[in-house]
Amino acid sequence: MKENNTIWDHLRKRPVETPDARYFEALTTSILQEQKPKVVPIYRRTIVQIVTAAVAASIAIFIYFRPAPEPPAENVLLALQDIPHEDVLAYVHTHIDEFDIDMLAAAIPSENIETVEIAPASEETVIEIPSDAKADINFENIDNQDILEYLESEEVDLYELDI
Amino acid sequence: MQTPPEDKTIIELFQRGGSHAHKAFHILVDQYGDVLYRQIRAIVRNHEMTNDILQNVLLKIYQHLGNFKGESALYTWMYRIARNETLNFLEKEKRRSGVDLDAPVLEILAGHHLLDHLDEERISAWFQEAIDSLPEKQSIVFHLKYFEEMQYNEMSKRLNTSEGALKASFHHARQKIEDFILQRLNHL
Repeated sequence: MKENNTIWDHLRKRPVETPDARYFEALTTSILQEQKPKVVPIYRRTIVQIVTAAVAASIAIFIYFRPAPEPPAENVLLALQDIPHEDVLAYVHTHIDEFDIDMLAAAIPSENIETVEIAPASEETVIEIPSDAKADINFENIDNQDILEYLESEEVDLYELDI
Repeated sequence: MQTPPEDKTIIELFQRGGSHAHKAFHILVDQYGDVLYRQIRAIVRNHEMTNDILQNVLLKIYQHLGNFKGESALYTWMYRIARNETLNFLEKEKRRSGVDLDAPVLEILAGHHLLDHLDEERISAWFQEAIDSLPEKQSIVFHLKYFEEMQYNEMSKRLNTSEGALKASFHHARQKIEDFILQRLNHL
């Protein structure tokens, strides 16, 4: 018979052993465990790292490009003490017209304004520069009389100044 | 006896995510795990390797089931993943160890004038080669009918194909495998 001659009658599949249900349950559980989202420490999250880097860069740029702060007036005066006396006097002579009248007036204690007598101004004031003089531009060291004379010569009304 | 959920129900449940997805995956492995296991083991004939491959297969199924569009039946899709994973694994393993993993899946019964001179390893290798050369649909139908002995009505539900079409596929597959093996036998 033809049917008996087919190869299928002479081949038999070998049984494949299959594990029991517990195997498949364990396999499923292990795969689901693997698929759980992993907890990433906050410092390792990309977004946190990017933001941190951006903030650090902003701070660095700000520090690099920020305008230098203006030193307080007291610091300026202290710094001026290091300048040789001759240089200071030379500067004052050259820039006498730009001198800050308000500053000069503020240096005079208010109780002295009415008590100090102002001598008539001479035609010309010559400032002697002692070679061994110490540079000290603190207005407390300048005679009030000198300041008032200067202000008088400039026709400044002390009562109109904002001091 | 409780009717197992249909593939569509499993997919919908999975796509809801979270604990629903876990539940759907449990159902899926419960229904198809053993079939996939035997599909792989029929080729590699070794539990450890089958286990490694099946893990990869199930992992891929879990990772991609959310995007499954239903363009083919669920089992067809999983069969394809399992087949590709197995063949890739075998290829790597052969390259790595040089070991021939084609252990016999068939036993030769005496009485055939050509088969009697052949060993089981060789006929099993030809058999597997013949199955691999089939169109995918015929390969799946042959596997489910020959190895799993699945009824046509059950297969029809699983593969969304009419019973008549499945019977025709199986018949063609069987014929092609026989021709393939006879051709090899005649060239010995």
